Amino acid sequence: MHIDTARFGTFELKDSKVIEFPFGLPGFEGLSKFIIIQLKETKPIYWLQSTENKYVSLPVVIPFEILDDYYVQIRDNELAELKVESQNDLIIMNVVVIPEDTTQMTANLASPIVINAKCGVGRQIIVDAAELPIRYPIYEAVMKFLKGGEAHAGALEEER
Amino acid sequence: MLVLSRKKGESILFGPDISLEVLSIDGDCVRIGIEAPKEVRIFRKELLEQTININKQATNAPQISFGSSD
Repeated sequence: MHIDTARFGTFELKDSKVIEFPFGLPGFEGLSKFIIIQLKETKPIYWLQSTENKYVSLPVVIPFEILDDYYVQIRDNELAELKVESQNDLIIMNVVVIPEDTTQMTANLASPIVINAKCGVGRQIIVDAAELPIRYPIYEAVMKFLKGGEAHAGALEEER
Repeated sequence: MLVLSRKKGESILFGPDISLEVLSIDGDCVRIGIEAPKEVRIFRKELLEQTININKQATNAPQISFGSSD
């Protein structure tokens, strides 16, 4: 399929790479289809790009790549809704807000995006827990990841 | 909107298996106890509003590049 994006230009992508969000993504009513874009130069930040609105592209991180102790409980009914059969098919991501001063970037740990990579279905869930800040500073963790080289890399095979 | 008055210790039921009890009242602060099945996610409404704001803010990210070693 043909993908048109404001941030990354246009390119072709297999239909099977599209992730369906049956409940949408909070703040983006009417948008339910996204893809994950991985760029070498922004790693470990990935991009959740809408295939229906070229301007909607959210930077995200995989917390297990950059944070030592991220823990979130996904409930059985939520896993069932996402048709998750194996933990290995799960990708958990946090939306990142990057201001002009990138040292102030934060990740939303309270609202993880849970994706079943095998079936291509995802959902953002909201977890009300004191240990999961909604604006958690991650600049140092990102820098630490970059210094650590490729030690944690390889969570997603798709590269552009 | 349904509006009900409740005193401390009184409850409201939502369907057969969700209950909300007023535990204490202190000025404009009410402590509420909730019992619900595990599959029902309960969170403060402002978390949804903040999530919406953060998702929208996230789309305004500047161009970034951390360089690449290869």
